[in-house]
Amino acid sequence: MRKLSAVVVFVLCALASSAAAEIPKAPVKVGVVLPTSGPIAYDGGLALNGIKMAVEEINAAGGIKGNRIEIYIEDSAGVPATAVAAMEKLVGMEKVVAVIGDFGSSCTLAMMDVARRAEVPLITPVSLAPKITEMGNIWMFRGCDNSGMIARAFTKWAVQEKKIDKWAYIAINTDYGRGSVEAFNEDLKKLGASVVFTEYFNQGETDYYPIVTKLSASDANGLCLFGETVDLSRVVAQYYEMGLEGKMLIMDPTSGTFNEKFIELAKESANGIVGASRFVASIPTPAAQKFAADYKGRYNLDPEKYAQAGYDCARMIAFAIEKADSLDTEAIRSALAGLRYEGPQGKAYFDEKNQLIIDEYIVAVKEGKLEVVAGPISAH
Amino acid sequence: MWTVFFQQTLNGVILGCIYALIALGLSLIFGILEMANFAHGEFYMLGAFMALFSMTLLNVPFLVALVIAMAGMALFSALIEHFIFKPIIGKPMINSMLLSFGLSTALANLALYFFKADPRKITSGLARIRFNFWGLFLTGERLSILVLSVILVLGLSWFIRYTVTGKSMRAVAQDRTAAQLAGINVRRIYAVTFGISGALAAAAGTMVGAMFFVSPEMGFTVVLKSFVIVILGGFGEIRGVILAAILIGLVESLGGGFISYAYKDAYPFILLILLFIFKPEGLTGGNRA
Repeated sequence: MRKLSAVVVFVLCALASSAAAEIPKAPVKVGVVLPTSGPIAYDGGLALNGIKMAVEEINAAGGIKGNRIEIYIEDSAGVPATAVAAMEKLVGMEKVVAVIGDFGSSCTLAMMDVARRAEVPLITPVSLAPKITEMGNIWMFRGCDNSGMIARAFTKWAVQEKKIDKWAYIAINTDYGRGSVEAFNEDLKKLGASVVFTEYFNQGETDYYPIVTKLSASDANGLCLFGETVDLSRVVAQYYEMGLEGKMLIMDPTSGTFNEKFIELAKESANGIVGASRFVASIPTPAAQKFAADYKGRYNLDPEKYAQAGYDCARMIAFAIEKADSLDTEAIRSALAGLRYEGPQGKAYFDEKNQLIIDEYIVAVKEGKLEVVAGPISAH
Repeated sequence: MWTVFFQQTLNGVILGCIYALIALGLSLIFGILEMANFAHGEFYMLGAFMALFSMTLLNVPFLVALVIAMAGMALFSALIEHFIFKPIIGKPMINSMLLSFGLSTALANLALYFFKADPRKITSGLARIRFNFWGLFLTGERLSILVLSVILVLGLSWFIRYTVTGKSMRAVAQDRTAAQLAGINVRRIYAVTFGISGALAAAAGTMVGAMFFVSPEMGFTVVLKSFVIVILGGFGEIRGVILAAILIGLVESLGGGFISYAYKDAYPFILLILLFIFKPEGLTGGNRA
């Protein structure tokens, strides 16, 4: 009798414990909205690579408490209206418990309201617009750095480590260019550096000689560029033609130039340009190297920041579900908000606005490849 | 400070030389055929692509590519004249404006379709040669533009002044009917004019492609600026066009360097408005009927 009751107690306990683990024995559904067609399909595909890799790894290791993760992928094509429709479909029909997306800020901003209404956590691996985490939507998470963090980390390194105290800007004449210059100026003022030269150019400009000639007469020791690949490659080429080589440190903090097209167009002038990035494949930590090797083995491609962010976002969602031990979206949301995560990039956590706090690395082009020059640097 | 001023002046003169090559062709067509050719910018773009492909596909040196591009565009322009512009010669200006505008759009989009939008660079091998005269920087490329423009402009002036064809061109420009009565083959003169215009545009395109980039949309902005130059310099006036081109180059360079670079494309047009107000007969004009 005693023995029997012991068995009964054991069985009851087992039952009770299985009842407490609320995750039913069924696949955990996670939605993904990314552009897989249209002009940014290539970049969207990189983020998707990272997500797929993370999910496959987790499933191979037994899933979330024995439950497989199933991802539902929708194409936003980079169009806000399509992104909203995709988000509605995922939360309404597929009943996913969390969504990863989107790429462009305008798409993410459009999807945020659906997330709030349906009370499903939404995490973007890419969108940079500060507004996304400033609007007080508790269901919205940014799983990557933002432009303010990049500015803080980069200026700190340039002014304190490289002693760049007289800055020159050549920036594109758009909201992005003018906004970046303003953001950087604020940080520079705090650090005690001065700005001696600011010129804007219009997209598609060819002749930058007037600017670089004027620049040659300034006493700047750092040149900071904001713009797109093609325009900046002309600026840099003409900078060298003007014989300014070695006079200033060329900085591209938002990494507009760190791609193969730029290296092809600017040739050896690309060498030595420094920028900031949360992730490049050459970060020397074991976690980053393992991720880079695994990714390369899978896709025969070096991972970059989009793949890294996709990978991290998928893993953070999985860990949050595991920690919440529930498929209740509110439980997942609060678990995600309180998550302490460590990925290939380093340690990460969300601040009170659901902005991911991560470190930045200073990178430079050397012989056509991206190298880590300094970091990790805290963006705080 | 003076070094910067002289450097900006030098930059402006070189820019002006390129503008001169483009605008001269436009001005010739305007003077002789009395047509406004908005597709001229596309001649310039196609010339640049011709040079680029000669270099990448045929592996010829830069100067040979330049000659191929000039010859190719001369032929192409003459064919365009023959097949497209011929029916509207002598008709009101609006005909040629609309026709050439359509041609411009068609050529630019065909180029976009076949050559794709991503910009490419002509590697002349001259950019690495750098000169430093008393603090003034000049690459081999820019020096060759300066030299080449001077040669081409002198050659053109000599051709128009001293050869039979050149004299016939001037005769047609002065009075088409009288020239025809005097036994000049006006049709041939039209084709030659288009050919020369295309060759000059190709020369400019090739040099710009070496200095900056070759891309299908490169012709569009240039053609408007060239019209400003032709208007400033007086239609069909070689000397006036060259002066106006260098003036525009200087205004852009010095304005961009000393006032604000972001607005540099506005300066030529401001200059044009001032000219209309204070010297409506053109820079070198004044005693023409």
